Amino acid sequence: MNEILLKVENLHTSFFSDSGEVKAVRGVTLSLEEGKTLGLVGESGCGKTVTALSIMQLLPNNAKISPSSRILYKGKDLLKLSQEEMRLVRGREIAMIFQEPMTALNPVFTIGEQIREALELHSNLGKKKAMDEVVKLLELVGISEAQKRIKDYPHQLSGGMRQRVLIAMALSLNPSLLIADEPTTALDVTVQAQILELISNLQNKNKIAIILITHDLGVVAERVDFVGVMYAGAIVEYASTKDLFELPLHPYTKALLDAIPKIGGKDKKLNTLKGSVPPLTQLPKGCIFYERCVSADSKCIQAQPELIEVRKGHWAACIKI
Amino acid sequence: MFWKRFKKNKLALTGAILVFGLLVIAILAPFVSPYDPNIINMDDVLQAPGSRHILGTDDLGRDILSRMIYGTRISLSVGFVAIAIATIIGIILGSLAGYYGKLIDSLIMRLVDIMLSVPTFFLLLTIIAIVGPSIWIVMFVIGLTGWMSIARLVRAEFLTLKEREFVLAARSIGASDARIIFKHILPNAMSPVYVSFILGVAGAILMESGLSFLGFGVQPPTPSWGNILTAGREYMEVAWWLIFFPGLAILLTCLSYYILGEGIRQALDPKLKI
Repeated sequence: MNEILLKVENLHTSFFSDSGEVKAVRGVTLSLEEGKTLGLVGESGCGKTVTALSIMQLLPNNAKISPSSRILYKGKDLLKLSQEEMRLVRGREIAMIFQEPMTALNPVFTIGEQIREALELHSNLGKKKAMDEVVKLLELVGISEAQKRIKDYPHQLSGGMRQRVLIAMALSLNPSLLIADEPTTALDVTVQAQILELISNLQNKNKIAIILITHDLGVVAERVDFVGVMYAGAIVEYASTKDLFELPLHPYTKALLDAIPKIGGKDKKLNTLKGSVPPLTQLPKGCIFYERCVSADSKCIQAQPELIEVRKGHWAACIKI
Repeated sequence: MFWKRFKKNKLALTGAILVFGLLVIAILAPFVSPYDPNIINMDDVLQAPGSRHILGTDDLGRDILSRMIYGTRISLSVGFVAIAIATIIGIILGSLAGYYGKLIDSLIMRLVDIMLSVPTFFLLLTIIAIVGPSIWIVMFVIGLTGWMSIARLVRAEFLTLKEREFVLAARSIGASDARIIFKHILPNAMSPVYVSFILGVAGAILMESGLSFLGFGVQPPTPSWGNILTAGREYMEVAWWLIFFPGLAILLTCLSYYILGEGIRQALDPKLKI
């Protein structure tokens, strides 16, 4: 068994707006071993990205992490670090790649300058050496003619190329943990596969742990060791990928898996989940999934179900199991 | 790209050429002026424009053309230095207000409101009346009272730019606030500042001329367009050239800065089809 790299305990993150407190993340607990991949899946607005931004502490000003939360990285609580200490963690220890490669690069600088900046921030390589390193990194992420490409501006590159540049930037400092927030959502399917392949290869080569945020269960099935399924700010099921696909426990997970179109299946209407996520400002007393759940009954509205270990390493938050 | 769009605007191009021409004249003043601007020649008092003195002479027989050429130096340097001061202050305060928001933003924006309610020209007159006229005082006071519009522009740009994902990406690799403000956001916020700078230079030149005209600006015998005008006022009825040419110079200079500024604005505005 590898050492635990990241342990998030009871993470609560809320946004405070004029309409009240929005509990975006409610008690997320997860852990990740060195070199492994954890997938976070769930529909839009279920708190996947907020969880990631909480770990990085890059939340907007109106967001607050509850004081009882703990984010242990290599045994240190990141929430107790000063801003300056946290700044040194970002990039060097934990890096992040974003959903929109179109907007995550600064339009007024060449990509070479932008990757070099990441290097300069955390090391004191000379300008010349740093530039050589940039070329190496670009070659590593599969950009051909890297020597020429470093002089390109972001708008001269395609979406896939830009995502590669962002990956190169994130990896430039050899982080131990990479948070990939829907890295392929904005890309088309063939490029998607290439990028995911690239991330896997780099993971194996550099022994990086990855948190892969996605709403694509297909991506999860192929690339991920463990999966956390999130719904309305909480993890409702957590298991190894194999267990989750073989025997999903939570009704929400079942519904998600049911909504995947199957190749070779008969022509019939795809199963969809009715209704939508309840507003996060007014949470019900009981199970948050109650209104959309097919197997709900009167017991479900009495209290919020806890995440319990149903089988070894397979956790679910539902009283019906 | 910018140059291509700019070139199509003939008026702006004219402005650019005039502005550039003035710069060359200011730099090469000792070489292009036919006479020493301060040499008094009692034999040539109040000569009308002619072959010896192209733009005539004043009541002390000094060559008007030479005085105006040296005056270009004063006017342009006051314009540039004053607006450079204003722009630096405006950029720094505007960036801080826009980036940090909340209390810092409120404080800086209220300061802007207060400064805007002070009539600059009278403040200038008061300060100069107290500390005495000097070209440096004029530059600093114009600079210290002219930064508000630039601060507002920069702040507005920052408010939208700071929400962009590349800012988040920069923070995710561990960039400090100062680096994000000045290296990542500011270069994206500069285009309205360029325009404002050019227009501001025209305003500052006009203000310096006004002050010098009132005797509060550049002091004789140092020539400036404003004080050539003042000196010529007494002889207006017999020597029209004493006020006509400096007035024309002020008008044309300001006009060429304005059309240049407008041309740059149009060329930088992607929504505008040229």
